[in-house]
Amino acid sequence: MRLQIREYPVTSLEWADMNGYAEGSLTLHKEALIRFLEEDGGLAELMLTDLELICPQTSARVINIAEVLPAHARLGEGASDYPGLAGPLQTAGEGISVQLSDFSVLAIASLPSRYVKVLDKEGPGNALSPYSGHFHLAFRAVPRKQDMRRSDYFAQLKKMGLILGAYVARVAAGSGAAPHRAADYDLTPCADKLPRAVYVCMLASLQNWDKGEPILYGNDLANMLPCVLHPNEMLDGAITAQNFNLGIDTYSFVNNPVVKELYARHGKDLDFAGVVVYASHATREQRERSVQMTCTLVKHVLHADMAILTKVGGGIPESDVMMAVENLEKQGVTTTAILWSQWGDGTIKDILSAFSPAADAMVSVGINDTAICLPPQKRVVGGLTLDPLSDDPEALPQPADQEIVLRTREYCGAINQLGASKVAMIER
Amino acid sequence: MSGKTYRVVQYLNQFFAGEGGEEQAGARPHSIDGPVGPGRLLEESSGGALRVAATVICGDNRFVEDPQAEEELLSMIAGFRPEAFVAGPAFLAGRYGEACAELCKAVREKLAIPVITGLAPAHPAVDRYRSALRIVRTGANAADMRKSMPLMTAVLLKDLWEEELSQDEQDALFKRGLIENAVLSENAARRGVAMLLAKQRGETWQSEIPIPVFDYSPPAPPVTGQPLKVALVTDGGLMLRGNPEKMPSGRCVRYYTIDLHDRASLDPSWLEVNHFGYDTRYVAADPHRLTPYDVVRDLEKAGELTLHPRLFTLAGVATAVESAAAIGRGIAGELKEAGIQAVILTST
Repeated sequence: MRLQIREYPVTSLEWADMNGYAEGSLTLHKEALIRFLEEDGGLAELMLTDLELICPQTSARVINIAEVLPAHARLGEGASDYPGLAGPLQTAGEGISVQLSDFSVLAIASLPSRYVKVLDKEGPGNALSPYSGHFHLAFRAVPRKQDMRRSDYFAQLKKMGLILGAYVARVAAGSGAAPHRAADYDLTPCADKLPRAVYVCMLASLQNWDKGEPILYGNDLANMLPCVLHPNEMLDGAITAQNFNLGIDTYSFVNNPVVKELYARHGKDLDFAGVVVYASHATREQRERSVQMTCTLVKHVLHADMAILTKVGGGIPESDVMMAVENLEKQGVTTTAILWSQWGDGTIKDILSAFSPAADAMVSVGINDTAICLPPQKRVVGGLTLDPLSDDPEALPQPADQEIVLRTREYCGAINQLGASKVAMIER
Repeated sequence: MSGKTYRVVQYLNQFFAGEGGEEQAGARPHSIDGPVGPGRLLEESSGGALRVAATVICGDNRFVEDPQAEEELLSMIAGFRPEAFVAGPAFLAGRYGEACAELCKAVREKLAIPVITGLAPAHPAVDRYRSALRIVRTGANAADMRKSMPLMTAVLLKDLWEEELSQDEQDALFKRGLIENAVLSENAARRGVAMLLAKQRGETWQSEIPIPVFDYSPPAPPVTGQPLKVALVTDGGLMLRGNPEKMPSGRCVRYYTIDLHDRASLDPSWLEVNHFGYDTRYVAADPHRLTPYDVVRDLEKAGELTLHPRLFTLAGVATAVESAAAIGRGIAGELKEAGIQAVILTST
């Protein structure tokens, strides 16, 4: 399976009379974009209310961000974008795809949700998020029918964002401009004997999950048993993030930083053997079965010498990762796990909800719930008021154009459970 | 930095004060004007910036066994009006190290002056005091004195001068175990793969998230004899109606008690529940669902056991391990003193 991703960097973004891309300058034709959504069915269930362009290093704040989505499209005759969700089911990960770099689509929720994020384009938040330097196409949409199920709304919002992203990616690909870079991804057998590495990727936490949520090729992962994926499938849109956004989004799956790092070292330092995906289930029996089968795939099917694990969600997924680490280490597979931590009492005694002595190599993606204070921004997109995101019954709505206080995980991209951010917990 | 000479009081045990070994471990708190033993090295390494006005001394056993010893030492120290306080270093010495850490904490709280001590990494007091104190990392025994005392001096002087510690000085201290977020130069995925390779290759690596070491408590042997002396303990958030003691609904740092004298039953007329970790409605409606006071009362009437007159309670959710351990020690201490043989501990 060979995938080439042609990358087009974005260095400026403007509305214009026509779509175009040249040397990093992306121009979009608003009416053409809306017409496309109408014709392509993206607007069948939702009504677009806002469509905005946002540039880095401008005094702008986006609130109520439900999803961050890539501008990614699969090229070639009959190729389907996000198969199983936005397009017909087919295998992703093969052929030629195109993606804009330093660009993302922001899907803004109009229904209340405690899992939405905030992103500033200027100020102290900039250091925290890999999205700080991005140009954005931000959109907001409302359900056309009052009784639309919440989970359907968020699925449609995600789908609309993916369609928009694919549209924009095709603008660059169709411009005739040469891509800045063409990255080839395939698991060519290694010439030398190198340690075999497997990425164990938890796709979703079913502790807080909606039936019918599209996650893996459009499937909701109910009763999911672990399976092996080719890493290219992840890079090419097989996986979309669940609505329960605790430090995860679809952009990070499509640009999975662990997959990219393992690829970068494939054939040099390690032999990238594949990805095992699983879900964190709700019952003890489901969880044990899932972890056990995951570890068997890693050790006895992919013959891994070492594995790197990531999780999504909170406490139970953490416990699942610890179980997997114990199982794998017992079988002689070297592990590292990428985990967030919690503030607790502010000391290292209280940072995880599950521990295992076997987990002796953990990488931090930061303390998810420490407070950050963000100064006012001139322009606000996505609403006038930021509703409380924590479960503190005394928390009040905050005017979005004023100074606001958030938990770090509520800042878009700052706490990324797949490891895309540079924020980490340190001890002093 | 300033040319000023600061008045310091130093604490030593009987051994480092040159008064004797274990046979002097019961020595009462006392003081000597000026420096003794390690105090001379303290003065010397400060280049004249520190003058040991007095050395306060206590036997190792006396400090841990005599509840008055700490108070006596504190008033003695206060009497010398020090501008800074030095304890030890105690290296790996058990009781001495406990005394040094405890006195540093107490002196800083009471006198609000800079304090410093030094302990070896394996000393149990390190873990308990490091978040509250600056503790210099020392070797295991007095052979390290010439190295550790100048480091203690340097850190203390920076504190007095209100200057930032150098990187070497920071490295000489135990990390305080306090956490914060920082922005590193590489993303977590890149660091994770690098760590994986280092571990696989047998190179050194440092987990970014340390796994704390937890104590193990072996189960107690079975209790015998009748009537058994029993107490009820629960972490289910039971409390007196109106919450007069202001028990939080989680993250407790201490325990609370409910007086059971003349109480025929546990009921909502005088009790309620405050706990953010479970749906408390069923327990609030009938607290016997949480702790079996009704059954125990019946057994007491039948002469099979006697019940401690107070029920021990807290909201056991999101409790820091350190707090939980301290709470457990506290409850166990009270119960042992009351001759209680067994506890019915119900959780939620």
